[in-house]
Amino acid sequence: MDGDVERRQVVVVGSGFGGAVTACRLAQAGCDVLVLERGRWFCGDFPRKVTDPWLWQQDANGPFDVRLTGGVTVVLAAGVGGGSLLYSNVHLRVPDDGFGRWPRGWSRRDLDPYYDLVAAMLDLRRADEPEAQRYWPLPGRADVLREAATTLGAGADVFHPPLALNFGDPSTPAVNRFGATQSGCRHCGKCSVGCNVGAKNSLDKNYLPLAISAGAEVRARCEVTGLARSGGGYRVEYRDHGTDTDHVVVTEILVLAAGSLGTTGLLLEHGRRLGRLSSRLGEHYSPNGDYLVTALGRIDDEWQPGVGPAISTAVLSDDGETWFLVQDGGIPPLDVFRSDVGVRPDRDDPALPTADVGEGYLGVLLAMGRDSGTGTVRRGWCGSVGVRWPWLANRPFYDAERDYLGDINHVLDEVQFDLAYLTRRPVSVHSLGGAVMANSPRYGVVDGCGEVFGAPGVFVVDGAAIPAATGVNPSHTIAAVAERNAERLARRLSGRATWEAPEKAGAPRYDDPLPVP
Amino acid sequence: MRSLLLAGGGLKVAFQAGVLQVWLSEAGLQFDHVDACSGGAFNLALLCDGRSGIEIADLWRQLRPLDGVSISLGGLLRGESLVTMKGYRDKVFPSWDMSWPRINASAIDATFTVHDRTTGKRQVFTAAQMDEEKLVATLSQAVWFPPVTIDANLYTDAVFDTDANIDVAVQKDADEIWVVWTVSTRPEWMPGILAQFFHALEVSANGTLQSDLDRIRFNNGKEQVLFEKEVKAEVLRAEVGTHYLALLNGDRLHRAVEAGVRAARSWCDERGIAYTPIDRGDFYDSGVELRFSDRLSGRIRGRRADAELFLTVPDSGEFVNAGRQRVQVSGSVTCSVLEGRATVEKGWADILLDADGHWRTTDVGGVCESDYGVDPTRKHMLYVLHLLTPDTRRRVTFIGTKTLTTPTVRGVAREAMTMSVRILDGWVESDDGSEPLCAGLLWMGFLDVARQLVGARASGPDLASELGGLARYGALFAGSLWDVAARRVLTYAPF
Ligand SMILES: Cc1cc2nc3c(=O)[nH]c(=O)nc-3n(C[C@H](O)[C@H](O)[C@H](O)COP(=O)(O)OP(=O)(O)OC[C@H]3O[C@@H](n4cnc5c(N)ncnc54)[C@H](O)[C@@H]3O)c2cc1C
Ligand code: SF4
Repeated sequence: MDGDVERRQVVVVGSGFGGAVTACRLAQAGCDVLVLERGRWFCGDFPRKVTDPWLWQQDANGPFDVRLTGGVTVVLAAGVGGGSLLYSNVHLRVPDDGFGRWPRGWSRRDLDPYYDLVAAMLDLRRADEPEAQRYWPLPGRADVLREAATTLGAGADVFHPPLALNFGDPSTPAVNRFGATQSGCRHCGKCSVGCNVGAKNSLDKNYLPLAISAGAEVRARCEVTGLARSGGGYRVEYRDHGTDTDHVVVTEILVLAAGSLGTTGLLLEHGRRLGRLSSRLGEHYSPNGDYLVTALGRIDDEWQPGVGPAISTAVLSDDGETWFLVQDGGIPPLDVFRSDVGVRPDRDDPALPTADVGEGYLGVLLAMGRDSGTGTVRRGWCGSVGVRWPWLANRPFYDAERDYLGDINHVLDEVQFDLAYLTRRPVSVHSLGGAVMANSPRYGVVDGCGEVFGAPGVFVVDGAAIPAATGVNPSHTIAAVAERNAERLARRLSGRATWEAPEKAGAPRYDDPLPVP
Repeated sequence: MRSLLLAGGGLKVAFQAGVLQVWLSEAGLQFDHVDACSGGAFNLALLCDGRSGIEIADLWRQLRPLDGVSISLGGLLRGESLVTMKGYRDKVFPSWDMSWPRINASAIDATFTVHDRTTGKRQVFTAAQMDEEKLVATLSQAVWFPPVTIDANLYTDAVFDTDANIDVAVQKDADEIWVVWTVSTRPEWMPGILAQFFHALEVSANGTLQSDLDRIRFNNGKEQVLFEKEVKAEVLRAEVGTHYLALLNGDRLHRAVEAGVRAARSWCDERGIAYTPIDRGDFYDSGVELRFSDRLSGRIRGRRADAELFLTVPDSGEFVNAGRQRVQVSGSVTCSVLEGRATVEKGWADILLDADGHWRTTDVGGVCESDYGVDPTRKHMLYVLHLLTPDTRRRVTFIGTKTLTTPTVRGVAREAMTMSVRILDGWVESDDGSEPLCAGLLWMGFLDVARQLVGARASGPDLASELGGLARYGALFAGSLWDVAARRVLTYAPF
């Protein structure tokens, strides 16, 4: 039977930031790479109507995976491109003082060249740059948030974060330098439910096409269900949801990039069969201080939640004790007047600004920051993965965030509706940790290169390996860390000690706008 | 020849009394003739009775408006009038110790202008002709008071005919005519029968005044063709934050007197007219001290900030009457940009003052119209706190302002609960508009407001005066918000 088993040099589980970057670089370095991704490809068919499949659990078709686990509601993505399909395109760097809990060899200075590389790959651009405003102006929210912060004396803390967005011509789709088709952003506010015109520079528009052209294979709707050590390598079992069949692949190098909860869950479930793993597995989980409130009132007049990319502006709050960011949240305009209620159909989105660009019905403000990072990911009943998050220990931190959001809402003359506070359960879209990098297995699960202690050849390259809350939106950091660790792994596997990503030499320095003192 | 026209304006003429204090008693200005229309007759009668400007102002300082009001049930049913002058006849005039023989013998060349319904013409009574009936006739505003029959003639208040009788002044040979005008000229039109009645009155009174002033300008410009000599006019106008008629307590009326004093002094300053202020600082003292606490939180320089302030109203009587509304402030402001908990070494706050304005003056063709510019429909609060930071003992000044302008209940409540903050270097007495060290915003929620109300304390000679002090403070507060937000109900709160 073993004769039929597929053999690969590298199997990457998951195609989010960690997975896509690693697959791309290893393929470029000449490795034989297979990517297994549980979700499907999205080609302009993100759900819009209520009756569309929204959840991955709906026949492995929907892009969302929402987990109501103990203490925090976690929102995850499923699809080729992972979180980049649903995220708000924000890319920010962890400032110098944010690396305190990272292992040796990690600092902002060490990471900057890789941040620059990611910035170049994803064509980062701030919404206030003239280039970004060729077709659409900065959304109204940007000014509203800036004014509110200025009223609170925080004008100097306001900035526009870099976005991985295509700000080109919204009317004519064009093929980008990676061979993917994209059109310019129409400011339709639907980033968080997936962009059907391909304006987001999501991973399926850059790293993944590049990986494929370098020889990697991406298998969509293939969910990894089992892992074990096998001879000198690792045996990966997966279920192909397209054909409803189970398969096995054996690999020399196993790269786990199934996201913080996905990777930690796989290790909790199958870790024993991989080797003697650190007892820290599951620890140091962080929802990255996410806190979201809705503002009720006359917000849509100026705020216009349904216009512009999901996030355009941010305010830094750092009083020496708590560190967090506040960002404007755009939300998709709803269409409640149709029988099949849902998000406004894409054909109704104007490509260019019109007099009556759609509005939303309620406003969202979000905060994220450096929480305690002391959550635990655990195996629940029947193989499910749960999180225990100490709300009480983080109460002063959340209070600081709530207060700030409350102050902004007061300035905006809005009523703050705070479900997280009522339920003592924040919603997190930024899960991190669970199998973190550390100097030794006493403190973490993987080493500074992402290799799992006790299971040589198994790597964790996604959010699970990030040792502490990034405070800022994490994907830029996840991608940069993956770039660096992929570079090391590529050198090791290719035997070329100076191998570098081909795009690295030409990547210009990119200035992060976070106003750190 | 200088003539003074005491124009009508219902209870707004309390303001006029304040002006008389300054013009007559403080600046010693002289007038050769004085005329009164409508409410102005209160003041003219007192003048003829031998009262000085300061005495008249002091009488208004003690007036309780409810004493003058008597509801006339019969009159109401018959459709004659809503109220009668009985209260003024029985209570107010006697309390003023008015004497008709004294008035009749007055040396002042005084005229009281009324409208004679029988002839359909204006008529004037001289001081020598006056009696209580004629005074009441001068004051008997249609709809509210019944007309007065004297010698088979029917008289009513002249306001719809004229509210400042320029012609009688010209007949008296005046070449200078001074007018104190309190009829509102706010470009606002409120709904409801009551509001419409007074708007009609304003249209009529303002319109007649303007055409009279135009006649003076015409005369001066066309070789004195009308009056055979050049006539100068001085109009002192102000928006007085009191309803013409509907007023339940005296505090607001007394504030109108003080507003008149301040306006007239400022008017004298503008013109370089010397005056010796008469201090009425302790006139309203009630011996009741009030204490409140103010808890606000928000942000300074984007950092969390909490203010715990203790407000002391040294004397509640003075506070609600004098129109100065100053309180002493102690406590602390906590914020990381202030190194933690900075204490208030010295602090004061001016609460709910009418928004300050500037004189708006036009001087054309010998007619000088000056509008005081103060706006009672916008209120202002200013906190000045001298703070000492805990570590480096740095001195900074906290300037907190609240501005109440939004004419909705929700809007004004929000503004009353929201304070803009500027932190200035050093201890300064006022905000000179210089670049602040930092700025921010503090606010209180409804719970904080409730806590403030529950936490209010009074200490005075007895429980009744303590409760009274708190109630009058509350009335001032609620009335001020009303002035901003509920003018549709009644333009200027009745308390
Ligand atoms: C609505 C929303 C908005 C966001 N906005 C931002 C933002 O503006 N900026 C930012 O920096 N971050 C944002 N994020 C977070 C960001 O998307 C994640 O932090 C990031 O995607 C995490 O990357 P990752 O590589 O760790 O995992 P993911 O991107 O989550 O990728 C994991 C992939 O693995 C797949 N997978 C999981 N289990 C298996 C399995 N057993 N077999 C096969 N495949 C599997 C998943 O389907 C998924 O595609 C947002 C997230 C959401 C949901
Ligand atoms: S705003 Fe609309 S068009 Fe632009 S990236 Fe977001 S979803 Fe796409």
